Amino acid sequence: MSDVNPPALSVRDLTVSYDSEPVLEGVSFTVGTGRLVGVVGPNGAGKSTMIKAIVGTLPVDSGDVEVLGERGKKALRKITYVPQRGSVDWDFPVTVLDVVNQGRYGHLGLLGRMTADDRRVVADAISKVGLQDLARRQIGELSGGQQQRVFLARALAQRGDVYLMDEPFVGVDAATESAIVEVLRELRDSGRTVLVVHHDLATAPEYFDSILLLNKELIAFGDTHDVFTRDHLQHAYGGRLAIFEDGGFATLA
Amino acid sequence: MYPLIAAASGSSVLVARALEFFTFKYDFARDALIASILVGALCGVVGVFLVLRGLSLLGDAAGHATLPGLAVAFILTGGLAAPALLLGALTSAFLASVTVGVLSRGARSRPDASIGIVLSVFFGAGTVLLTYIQRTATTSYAGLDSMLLGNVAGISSGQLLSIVVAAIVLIGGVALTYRHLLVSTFDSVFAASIGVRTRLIHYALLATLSVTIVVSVQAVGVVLVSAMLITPASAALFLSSRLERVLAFAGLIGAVSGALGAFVSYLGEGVATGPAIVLAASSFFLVCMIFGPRNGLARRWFNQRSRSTRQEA
Repeated sequence: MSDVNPPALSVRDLTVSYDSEPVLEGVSFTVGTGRLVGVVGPNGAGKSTMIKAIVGTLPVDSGDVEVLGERGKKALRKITYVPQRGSVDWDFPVTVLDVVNQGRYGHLGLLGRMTADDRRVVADAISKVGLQDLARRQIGELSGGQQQRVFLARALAQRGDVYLMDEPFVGVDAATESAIVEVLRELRDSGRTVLVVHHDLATAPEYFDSILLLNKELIAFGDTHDVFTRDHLQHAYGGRLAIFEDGGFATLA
Repeated sequence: MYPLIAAASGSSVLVARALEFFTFKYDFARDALIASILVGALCGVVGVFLVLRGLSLLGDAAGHATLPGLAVAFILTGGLAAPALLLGALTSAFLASVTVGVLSRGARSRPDASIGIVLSVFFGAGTVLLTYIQRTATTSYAGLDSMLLGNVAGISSGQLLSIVVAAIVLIGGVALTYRHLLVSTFDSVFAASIGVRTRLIHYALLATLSVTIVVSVQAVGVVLVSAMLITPASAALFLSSRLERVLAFAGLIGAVSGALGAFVSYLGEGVATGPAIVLAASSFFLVCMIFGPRNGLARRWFNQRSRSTRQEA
């Protein structure tokens, strides 16, 4: 704790490879507290890989991660990770409440019991995403949007300082998308920092204060209006970028 | 009592034997009952995690993989020293389950193919060694034979003790680490992100599986042990959508199947206990699949019908 105000997240020289094929090379950036950051880049740019490497669930070749001045396990406790919806088995025998309870597991240790406080945090998280009427449902009975809200509620129940979300808007209805954005803005306004892997160039400038543009290496990082330029995007996307006359961008499938 | 049984005929013989069973007149009948119940419960609980992790057939591979370990231990000790045999079986079962993991991760062979390869290699090696033992051994190898199909009636007090200890320790262990098992099975990347040691849990589960198989093989045999791991767990998954209840149901179905199997095999002399237990568990599976409140066939049919009548209305 040397700094008075350490940055929310500081990543230095992060390099990750699969089968000695580098998928992420020398990525370094620093994000302050209270920021809502979009992680943007073409398919295979290593966006999810970067998130997983930061939360420590992937072996890295090199790199150093600091969260609010802490490293290792202490840093991990301040991070909240929201995986892609497709990464779990939705037939699994758990209810909405069971999954959101998992948000408290990191605070409980091996044998600790859920306290009344924990239960209140969980109930708050569930009502914040509007699932209070579905809390006892098995998760497979929910729609795609509702399933994503379950993950968001679990993340809220963790009460972390830095949120890392992997494609929260995939396969989600419009109502859920705006509900999620609303919650993310509230998190930012309460001083949390949120990184969101996002692939829709049309909505990115509207949703995020900052953009981290990635294609195996860091192309650009900074305020959205500085990063979201034709040059930067063309650098990241190459021929897959479509530029509209009104100045908007989109990716070609 | 014996002249009475001899004089009776048909069903009254069965009734008499049934009464005899429940009075626990013979220690071996009582021991067989306890062993079968505990093996059923243990396999049921452990099996739930196998099935949910998509590793149902790993029990099959690890079960067959006990053979080479048994045979090597038999050859090395020159006989049926029970602790040595158990240790040998345990080692090769654990080795087999770790090999499946290594094959499906590193060399990119699919998990089901890896399981098939490991099963046949270990079982092949075991069969070769058994043939060798049958040709050369001077001592009796009857104990090895009973491992193939299980022989719960001939269970020794040492074997029974191993089953009791394993059941208490392993089911207790599952209860204590329940939250970690749940979260790492449901969402392993998330689990790792909150500091759960998912690799440690994975290997602990493989060790648990190996111990479960080795103690269960004495009752149900190498060939059928995987059925006891998969069937009660799959039946229980039709009964509840909460993991703790699924575990309780699976343990219960396994235990009741064990008791029924032991009972039936006592009634009909010559009915092997292992197959009787497995058939009992399979009947439970059938009933649960049809009438289970969660995704059971009857429920699905009913839902479909009410949906179409609603549409017509």
